[in-house]
Amino acid sequence: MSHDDNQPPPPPQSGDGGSVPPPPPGQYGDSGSVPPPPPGQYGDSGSVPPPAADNPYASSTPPPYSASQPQGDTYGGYGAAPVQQTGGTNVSAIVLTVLAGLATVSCYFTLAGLPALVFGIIALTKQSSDPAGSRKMAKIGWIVFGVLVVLIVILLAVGITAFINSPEFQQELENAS
Amino acid sequence: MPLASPPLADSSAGRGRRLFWPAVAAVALTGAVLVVHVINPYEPGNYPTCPWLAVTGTYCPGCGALRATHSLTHGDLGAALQRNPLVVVLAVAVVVGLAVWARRQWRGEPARRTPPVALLWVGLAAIVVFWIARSIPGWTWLSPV
Repeated sequence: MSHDDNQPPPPPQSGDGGSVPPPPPGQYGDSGSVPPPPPGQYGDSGSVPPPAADNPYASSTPPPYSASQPQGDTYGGYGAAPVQQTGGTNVSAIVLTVLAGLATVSCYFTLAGLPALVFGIIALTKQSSDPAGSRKMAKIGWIVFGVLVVLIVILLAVGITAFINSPEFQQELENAS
Repeated sequence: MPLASPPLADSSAGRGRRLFWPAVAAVALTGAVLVVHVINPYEPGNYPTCPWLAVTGTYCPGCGALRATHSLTHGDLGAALQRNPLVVVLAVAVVVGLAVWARRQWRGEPARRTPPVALLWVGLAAIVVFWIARSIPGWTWLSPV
């Protein structure tokens, strides 16, 4: 069925435009008459009805992907899979590396910063080749960093308390007062 | 939509939102440096002793960091290098890094570049070598005292 086979509709008569019956559906393949899909719904190409056999231009209508879904990325007619962040920057690893580096030269938290720094650098090394491994390394680094910082804070608190309660410090306080 | 913008640039967020984390980092660093500037670490008793030094009797890579920072804030670069040269290098790196980060956030540029991983490994090796070297008997030029 070619375009030449169809006869153009008669022009609307002046004065009676409201009474002119619409052309039969599908006669011209009017893509403008195809109702757009509601936004945000699945956006799957599987739900698109096949073009009618008597609608030769309906196939030129773009598939009704929703605006938020990339085209051509459908999974069994239920929409596109969530976009995977592969090869992106591992922000967690960068923050861990910076904080661990600062902790390493902070004197008090050196022993917490050094292993976390190693994990952070490993995570940054793997972020382009192995994003999942990079995220895992950063996570382990954060856990190690947090545990060691808490341990050092506890040890510092115990040490300061012991120093304050020591007889030497109490003697100094009495001499000062 | 996250409540706060991530540390890296997101051009879809507003400029004030993008500069949130650089501002937080700058304020935190300035506050810490201000404390060390006001409370003199050269006077004994103002800060706790280094736990590593107290336990092992050797210097850690951070020993002398507070005194070096105090000297830097008073413009005494020589004294700062004598207390802890690593802190001087790191201070320059932190200031430059913060400025680059804030500039990128200001312009809304995506931070997709690979960080200089080789440089980080060199820095880590330098920290370990510095740690060992400054505790070698006789090598007092790296010790903070």
